[in-house]
Amino acid sequence: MTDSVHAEVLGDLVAFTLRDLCQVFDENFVLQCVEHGIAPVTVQAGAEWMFPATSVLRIRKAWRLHHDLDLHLGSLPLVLELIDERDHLYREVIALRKRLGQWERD
Amino acid sequence: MEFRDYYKIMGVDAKATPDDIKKAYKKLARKYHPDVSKEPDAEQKFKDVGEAYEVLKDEDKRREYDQMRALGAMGPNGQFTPPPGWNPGGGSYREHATGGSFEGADTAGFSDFFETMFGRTGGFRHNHGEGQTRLRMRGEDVQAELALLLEEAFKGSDQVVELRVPKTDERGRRSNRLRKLKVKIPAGTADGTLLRMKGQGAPGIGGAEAGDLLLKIRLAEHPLYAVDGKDITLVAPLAPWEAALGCKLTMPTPAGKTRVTVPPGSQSGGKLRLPGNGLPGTPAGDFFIVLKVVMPPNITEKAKTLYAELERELAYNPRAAWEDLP
Repeated sequence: MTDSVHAEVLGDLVAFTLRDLCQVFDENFVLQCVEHGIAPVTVQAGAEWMFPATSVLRIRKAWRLHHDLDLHLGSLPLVLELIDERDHLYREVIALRKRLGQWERD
Repeated sequence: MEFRDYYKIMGVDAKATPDDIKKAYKKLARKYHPDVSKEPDAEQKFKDVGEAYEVLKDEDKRREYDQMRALGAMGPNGQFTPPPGWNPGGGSYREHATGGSFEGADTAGFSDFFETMFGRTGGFRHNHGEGQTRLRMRGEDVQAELALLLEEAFKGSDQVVELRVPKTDERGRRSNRLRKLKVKIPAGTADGTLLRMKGQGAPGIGGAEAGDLLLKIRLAEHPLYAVDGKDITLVAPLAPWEAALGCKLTMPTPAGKTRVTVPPGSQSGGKLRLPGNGLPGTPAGDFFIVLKVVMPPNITEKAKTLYAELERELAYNPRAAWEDLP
């Protein structure tokens, strides 16, 4: 049987409260992620922290690296930044190779 | 059931010390961690290494495994068969936090071989003294990837996704069940976009809510277009006279054919931009056309004469900048 489900794009337009996040992550870990600048928060008028979906995805990645590879929380911002940069360069190399291929083909 | 050589997976000798095993695990875990590795089967390799380490780091489990390995209990078909009456190890409980770690802390992703040898560990009961307390825990998020053609991502499409979702029976035993889901992909979905389907992950424990299904979109390589985020690029070949005199081109785009004016005196490598004609969205991406001047393959005698005339007329040296070089 095929169930039809609603898919929501996890972008910056979707945000979660700290309470939402604490259903999945340890609260102390989330607070440390905020302190170390891993997960940017936006503060709403009611002074409640809101985490855009992109922040939540970074917390998830930080958690996995911290838990699976024993990475120290203090080193995670640098690690995440380097992974982002590596991914960006990787995508760029793929795109440039493709373009070069089109250039050299004919 | 296939025998799994955990020493081979870890790349260590059967006489390796616990310290050697730990070092090997850390090295391989860093190499294959799905958030770090670019290898296509990194997640499976990471799970294999996690499973091997789960056994080899534990003195009792390693001893049991070594005994089994020494017995070489292979059936006539070369498949591994545990000796009759083999009692899977008690399966010590490993407490773990949620958060979707890749490490197989609850061993749900481990092989049949592991399950036969050691049973499923990481059940959902905490031992508190003599009694047992039922846990209440949100179900795990399930992650999967979905490959789309650019045209499907551009216009949006209905996709049927087949995936294995963990389930837990009333005795806390874990297994996977195959689910088919119909997912509506929004128009303009870019490569790497994460889609969340709330409550479609693993069921919660003790009445807690189910996890989510997170679907990562991957755009398949397109023979014509290069896609970067929401921007789409197409290389347009031009004859030399089209570049020199300008022309009107009919360009293919994922939205259909469109007319583009190439200005006179265009250079090979020049770029034209059609704002908002990339992947739809807020904001939409742009569509770039990269011009590529191509020489006609067959030069006739008359064409040679015309080129010679052009040479005299323009007296152009495209390597003039080199003349000052030593």
